[in-house]
Amino acid sequence: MQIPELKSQYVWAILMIFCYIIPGIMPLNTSFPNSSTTTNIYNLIEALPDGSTVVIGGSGVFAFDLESSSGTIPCIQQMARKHIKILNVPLAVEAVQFEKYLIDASRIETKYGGEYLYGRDWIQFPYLAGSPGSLVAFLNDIQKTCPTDVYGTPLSQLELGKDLKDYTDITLWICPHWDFPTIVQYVTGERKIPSISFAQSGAYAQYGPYMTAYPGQVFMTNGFVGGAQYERLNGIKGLGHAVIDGNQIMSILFVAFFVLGNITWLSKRTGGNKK
Amino acid sequence: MLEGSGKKTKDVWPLQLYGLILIFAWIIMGTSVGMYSDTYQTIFLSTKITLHIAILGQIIFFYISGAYRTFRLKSLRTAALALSAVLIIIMNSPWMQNTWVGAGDFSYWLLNNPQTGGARAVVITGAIGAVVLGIRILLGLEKGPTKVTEGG
Repeated sequence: MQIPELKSQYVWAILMIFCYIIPGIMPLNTSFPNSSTTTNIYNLIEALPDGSTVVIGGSGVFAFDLESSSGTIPCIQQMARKHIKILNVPLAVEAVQFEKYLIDASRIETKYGGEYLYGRDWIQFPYLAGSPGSLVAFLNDIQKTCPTDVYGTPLSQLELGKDLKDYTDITLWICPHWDFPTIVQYVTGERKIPSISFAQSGAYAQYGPYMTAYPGQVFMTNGFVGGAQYERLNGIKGLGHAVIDGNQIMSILFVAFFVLGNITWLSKRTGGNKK
Repeated sequence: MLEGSGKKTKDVWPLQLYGLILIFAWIIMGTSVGMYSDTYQTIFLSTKITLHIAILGQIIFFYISGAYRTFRLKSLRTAALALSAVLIIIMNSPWMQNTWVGAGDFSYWLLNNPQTGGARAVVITGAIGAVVLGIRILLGLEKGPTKVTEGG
């Protein structure tokens, strides 16, 4: 007996129903395991001295990357509880908007009921063209490389900006962008500043081995699942939790369609021989 | 924008007009309120990015459809490719990591060893190929892209 090939429309309909509509209407709240790496990142942030300065920056991004946002947003909220100062350092054009979005979505500013004030608790630097050269210049001399913030205000007029000198003022580098290797090389490898990437699962697959190369210094979370793990540690439900149901069902459907495709192919082959 | 649609100009003029209005609207807004203002950020997020994410969300359909149509165990090579993909998908899925505690570590081992070895081989091979190509071009042994398209 030959099994007919499924039309694309049916594959799309099944996915639409099981991955989007059902989890959207009736969240299944499927469980997911903890990761020791995600927990280590959380503990690393908890162990930072209050008032430390952390950079969020890098290159290789399209604006508003939700996969890396799922981990970065709860991390920013955690840092806000410890009054950690945040410097947003974009090394790509759309990174400026993405980093500003991360602060907005974290709701840590006074205009959203938080305690953070621009200039006092966080600064958005302008796009630094020419990375990695501009990154090295920034690390070596912040004032000369970035004399103003993104709005053109001189650093000397910003409470947080006036005392910044160089990389010795930076406790930790968080990279929610794709180009994590540049950060690992120049920030962690050369200047021994620990780095964290709230990575897209594709980036995690490529750059995960850096964690082995720099044990205890380089950390990565794995896509939406890593983001959901971080949200759980932080006691919130956000972008990561919203995707977990669809992620689970998709991975089951992937295997199911793989098996069905091969059964279909085998049935045709067997049917053809009989003929 | 004006010529790329492949349709006759008279058929696509509403889209062209829409595109022109959008371009000028964004230029005016960016120069008046600033690219990094809350207003610009909100409108950008509500329009371009929402569409962008919707398009990205479609990848899953191609992904599963690809698993159904192309990952067929017709030969040793296709079986190796298909089974590797399935293995990575299963080992990274939360339900498998819930079922078998070692799945996450095994998945990371796969990424850290066989995957890294293969990826480095591709990078090194590409780099050697680029050097060889450069030498061949310098020696005049390689056709340039224009000669290829000209059929020379």
